[in-house]
Amino acid sequence: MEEDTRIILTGIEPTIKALKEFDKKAVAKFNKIVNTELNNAEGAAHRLVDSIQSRTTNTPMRNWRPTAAVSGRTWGGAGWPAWDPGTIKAGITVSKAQRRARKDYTTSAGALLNTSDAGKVFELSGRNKKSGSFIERLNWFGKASRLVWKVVDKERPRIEKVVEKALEEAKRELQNHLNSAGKVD
Amino acid sequence: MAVGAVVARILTQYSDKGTKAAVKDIGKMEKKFSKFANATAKKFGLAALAAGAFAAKIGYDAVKAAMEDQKSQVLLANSLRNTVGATDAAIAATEEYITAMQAEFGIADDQLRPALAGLAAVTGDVSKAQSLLGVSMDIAAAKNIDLNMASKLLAKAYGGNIGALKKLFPQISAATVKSKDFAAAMREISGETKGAAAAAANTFAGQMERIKLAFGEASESLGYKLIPQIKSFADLIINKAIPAIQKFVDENGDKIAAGFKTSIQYGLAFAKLMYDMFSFVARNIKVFATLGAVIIAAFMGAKVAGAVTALITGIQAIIKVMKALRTVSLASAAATALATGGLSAAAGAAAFGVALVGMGLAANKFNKDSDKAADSLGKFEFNAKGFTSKADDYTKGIEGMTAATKNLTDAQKEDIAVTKGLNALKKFGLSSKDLKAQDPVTLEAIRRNQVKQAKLGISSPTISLLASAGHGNIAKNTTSNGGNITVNVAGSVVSQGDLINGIKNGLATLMRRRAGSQFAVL
Repeated sequence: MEEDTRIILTGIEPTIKALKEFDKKAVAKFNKIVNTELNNAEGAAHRLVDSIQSRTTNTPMRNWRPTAAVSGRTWGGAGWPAWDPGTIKAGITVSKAQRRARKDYTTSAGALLNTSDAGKVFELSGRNKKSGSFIERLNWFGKASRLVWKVVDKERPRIEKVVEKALEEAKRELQNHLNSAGKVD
Repeated sequence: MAVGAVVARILTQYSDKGTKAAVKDIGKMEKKFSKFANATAKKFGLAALAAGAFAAKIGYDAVKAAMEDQKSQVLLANSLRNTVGATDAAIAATEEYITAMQAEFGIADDQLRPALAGLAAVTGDVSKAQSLLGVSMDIAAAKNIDLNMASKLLAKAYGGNIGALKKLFPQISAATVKSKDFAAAMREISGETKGAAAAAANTFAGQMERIKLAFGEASESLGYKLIPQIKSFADLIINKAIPAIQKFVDENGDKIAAGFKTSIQYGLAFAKLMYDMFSFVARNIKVFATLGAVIIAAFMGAKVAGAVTALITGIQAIIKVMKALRTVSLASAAATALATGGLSAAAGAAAFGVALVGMGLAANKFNKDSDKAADSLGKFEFNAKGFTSKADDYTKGIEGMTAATKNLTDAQKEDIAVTKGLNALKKFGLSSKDLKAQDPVTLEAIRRNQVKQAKLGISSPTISLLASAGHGNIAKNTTSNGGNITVNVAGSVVSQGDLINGIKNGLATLMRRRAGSQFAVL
């Protein structure tokens, strides 16, 4: 991930909130740009799920069962999440919910979520433990951060630039409305 | 957002919720601090006031103690110079000895010094006196008597009168008393007294006494440091405040008085001026009392209640001074202030300020009132610092001043009535020189009597005794002209009775000639 190079957008909330009083169309335009970018990222993640398959099965590994196991004696047994592309894709969603901030913090204005158990295993396995046959086989799909983070790491700079541009546009719109309303000298 | 979801943030924004929350919290905290500070300030203010009063008490006591200590030192030094011819160095060494004894045995220097002075006078030697002072302290501790008495007994014994000491120490033999052997007497009592003072000093009570004395010494030290401040303050009052008042009165008093003296309304005008000033003081007495308390606390301190009382007393004193246009009593007031440790000085200083302000305001108010009046007094000016007022028209305001008469005192009203009565008697040839009576009622009675007599056409009879030629019969030499009786006395008159009888007979003859029935004279 490129945490250090991340662009932080400031003033989204107050700008949109103020702009909503003057020009709801402008707000809708801004939201549409954001939503489009998020949805595109979500689609990219979904497509990534669809592309995952071993040499013989549509799962990452041959023994990663596509249905829930009855027996719990193997690592693919009971309790182990089944590889179900539909469930995993359904678990990959977008969110514009503000995370609760108790102090000054950069918070999400838009994010991709990977909520399914199988998706999280596939996404994160190998972040801490670097060795083992399971990790080694999963690394065939790339290092940890294999789904949503992979998409975001690839698309975020572009998305942020697009949204930043849209935000600046929204700010200009707001300023124009404020000037015309005579609220600013 | 699902719990435990992997979140990949695409768009991030800066949240200042933490800052807002912090600002809000700081605002709350500031209010709480402010509330706390206000409450604390009030409490601290009270505490400071109490502490100030306590500090002032300490300061006052310290100065007093230092002055007494200084007096005690001077007396001892003088005694040693006179009795043993001690030098300054010896006196200084003695003071150090006194201080050491006080610390070691817990006996106040004020007791040690007179005892040492007495013993030095008897022995004629400071070293011997110091030695006997130690014995005296032992005797005092052993017999539980004060050091002064013990040293006097010892001084008598040293002089040969051992009998007094034997009453306290029966073990002294009769032979010793008879032989007046002081050294033998000391040996005989040493078994009982030796080390008694040191032992007493090491008891709990003795140690407490030593602590008390140590505090007293510290207090005296503080007092010595405060004395110059007191002196400076007194100098300020004497050299600055009093001259300022004096100058004001000197510059303006004559002008005011001269202006008023030319007018018969002098009394009224002056009373009006005074009334305005008094009224101003009365209306603002709380302010003055508070101001006085602050000044007292800020400068010399003292008990606040006492300060307010002293302030009011000070104001009254100033009013009296102003009333008489004299400042004679101010110098003595400053002397009193010194004697009372500055309490009156502080109040006096406050009173000066108050009086000056009051005078200024009163004069301005008087000036405004007098603007309506005619001027038969000429111009006069107030040159007091801080205000300048001119009264061009004064006497025209007599009508306006009628109301001021309501404020006159009974004494002033009586004075006016007396003047009126005396003026009424002037037409009868009587003046205040001829009359001792000053009571308006009596004067009115005299006037009515004069009127009655005038109506009757008679005047008070007079009797003249003329030692002129004539025969020796007094009765025949008595003549009457109107109400006056003239008696020519010739020859010898043996007694007053003969004279009276002669005149009486003469008048009787005259009355018979005029067919009168009787006479009332004599």
